[in-house]
Amino acid sequence: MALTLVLAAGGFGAGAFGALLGLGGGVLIVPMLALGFGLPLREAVGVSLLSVIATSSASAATYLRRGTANLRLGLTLEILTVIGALVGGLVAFALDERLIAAAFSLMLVYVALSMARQRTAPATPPAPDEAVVEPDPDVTGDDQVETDGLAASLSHPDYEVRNLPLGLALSGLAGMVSALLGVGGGIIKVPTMHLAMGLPLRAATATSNLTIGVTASASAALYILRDSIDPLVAAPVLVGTFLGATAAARLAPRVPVAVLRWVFVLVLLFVAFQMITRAVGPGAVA
Amino acid sequence: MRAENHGERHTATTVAGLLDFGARTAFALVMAGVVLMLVTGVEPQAEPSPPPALGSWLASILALEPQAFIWAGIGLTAVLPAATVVAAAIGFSRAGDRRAAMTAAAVLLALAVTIAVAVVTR
Repeated sequence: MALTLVLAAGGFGAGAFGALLGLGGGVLIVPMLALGFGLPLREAVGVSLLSVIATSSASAATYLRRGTANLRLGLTLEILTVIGALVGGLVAFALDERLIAAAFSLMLVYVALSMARQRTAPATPPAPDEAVVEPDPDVTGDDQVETDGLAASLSHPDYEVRNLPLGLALSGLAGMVSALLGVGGGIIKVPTMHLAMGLPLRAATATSNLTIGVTASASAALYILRDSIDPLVAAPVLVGTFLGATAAARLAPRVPVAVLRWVFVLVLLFVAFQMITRAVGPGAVA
Repeated sequence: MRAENHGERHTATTVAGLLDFGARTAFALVMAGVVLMLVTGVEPQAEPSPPPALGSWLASILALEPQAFIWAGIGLTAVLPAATVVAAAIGFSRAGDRRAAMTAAAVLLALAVTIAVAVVTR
């Protein structure tokens, strides 16, 4: 019974964390299950994928109702993400994982520094029932705004989408990295939408939450088909994840953007460290 | 910037409703399984069983087998994202937004191809 409750508590933390940051919580669940409970890595990844979907499903409804998640933009980026995941899955065995992990970790450090250098909006949390998207003053540069065509159709009443081709390319990369390294695409998609495409951070995390479930569902289906999911471990984790993600989605408007930004920077650096370890560590796979 | 149209808001609300219903149902099923695990003393380290065959699923549920409830919740969790993309495609199509409807259909196609390729190459 104690183990069941510990797994549920871990799921709660990962769900809350994932829903707030648009990451899905896989960066916490995989180490927790593999290192903390000795679960084989493949089974840990399988449970993590289900947890990502649960986080996405439990939080995205709230973000959609509030108008924070951009459904149209999320779907557009998702086409490239799913295709990227397919390509990543196909080339996964032909590439040196250590090289990919090293390159990825360098990119994460660069993204973390870019996010850390950004000016932050005043940390005044809006009332829960207020409009949800809090524009960041640093992402509304008029010089780069695309106002016509597809980008305009994907924009939101509170912000404009810019650099759509770059956003699409990076979404494809997010899918590839997700398949190659077993990390959620949100770790790339949130910075892409926020830094490159001009979405406020809240809108980027909410839109990422909406789409990461779709990305994870294809992989999760395969894990189920291959009997690589332990239902007795997955169940308590999922219960905790549902509860944590639901609570975090309701709490999200009260969390200042500056706090979200700095937590995200720390997570990026943590994942970069994990990737460096994977690249140079004794367990690295050639 | 552009104004959000009524059809888009309606589609987002429909997708949100489906996500809410699906997530709550999946949660209820998995939660029932966890409660049965606790009541019957099944620990997470116990030997897991594969999903029951579709024909015997109802019997397993009626027999209050924890893993039958859990697998039902897991299955629902796994298909929910694709179901929401279907709902988005239908919603955008009904609203006359062909571009968004085609985008949702393309996501579904990409998902189907990914799963098919992975099944074939496993």
